[in-house]
Amino acid sequence: MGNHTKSPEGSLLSNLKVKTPLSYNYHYFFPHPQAWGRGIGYTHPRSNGFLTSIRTHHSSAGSNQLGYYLAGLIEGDGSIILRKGEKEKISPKIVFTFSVNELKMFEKLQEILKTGSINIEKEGVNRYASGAYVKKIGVCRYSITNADAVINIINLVNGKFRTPKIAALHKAIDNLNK
Amino acid sequence: MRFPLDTSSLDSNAWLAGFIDSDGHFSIKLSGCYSSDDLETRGRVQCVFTASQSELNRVTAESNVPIMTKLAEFFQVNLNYKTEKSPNFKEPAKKVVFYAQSDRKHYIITSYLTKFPLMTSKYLNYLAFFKGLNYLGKRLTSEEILEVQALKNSMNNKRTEYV
Repeated sequence: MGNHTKSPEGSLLSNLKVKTPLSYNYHYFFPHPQAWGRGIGYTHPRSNGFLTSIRTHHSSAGSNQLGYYLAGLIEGDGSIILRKGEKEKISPKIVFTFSVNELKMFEKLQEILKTGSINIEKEGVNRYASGAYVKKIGVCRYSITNADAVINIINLVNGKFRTPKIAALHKAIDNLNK
Repeated sequence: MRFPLDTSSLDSNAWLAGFIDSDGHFSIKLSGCYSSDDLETRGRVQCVFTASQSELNRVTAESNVPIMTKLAEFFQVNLNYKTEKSPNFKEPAKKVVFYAQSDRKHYIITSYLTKFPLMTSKYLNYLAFFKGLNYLGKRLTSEEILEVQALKNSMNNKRTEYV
């Protein structure tokens, strides 16, 4: 873990201020690394296990589990941000908010989707309307703003939403089809 | 092309894994008098999986109740309504939440997450939860109680390792 600056993979991580070592490869699609070789029935990633196992389990449904997973993630922690007024022509953007502890997973996601940028917010204090102060630590955002990339992701998740957030997705689609 | 809501069964794809990675929570409860050596009064362990959502979307005022009802049905538990004071907002937040903590129903979550694993560090909390399942439904020895406490101290807020 110590010499990650020398790691050739380190250069793949684009515009991050804080770089974390890639001591393993997330396998796409991509149990948490600790799942590998643990006794809950996962196959080792280097045996090309997970993709194959998804295909065998779900060959009829197509093997696009990435789209389903992303749909769930967007409906939980993600946002689809639409522009209004004059800026309406700019494409919507997709933003995931997460803790710095999940940085690695989102870096991997960024690598897989080949788009977007990750920002780590400065530590600070949020003041809310109620007058309460909440210290914020290690908040990160992964934003995808490139229009083609957003269209690509929307194609991945379209038809896979299950919550009212689908309204935002529909608005984004209408906006992109204008 | 606008597609409607997905109504396929929840265990047919990875949507729920993404959702749990966002909004699910795993914990282990140790209740009762577990420091005692007296076997009769000794406490017990519960493994709990929780998921909660605000009742209404803050912006569009659309209800999250239908999907949460579906999820609660999937886990064979009841959906609860809760009002929570939050420092973030003036108004107390209305939430819908369910707790899956019945020893006999954990197979639902474990069989789903074996098919569609979690991707964030919540996976590690799930592993701790999964180990905790070994201690259910029996009187624990003092050693086992220490083991469960160690497990509890390694998960969620107290977690120090994330990879």
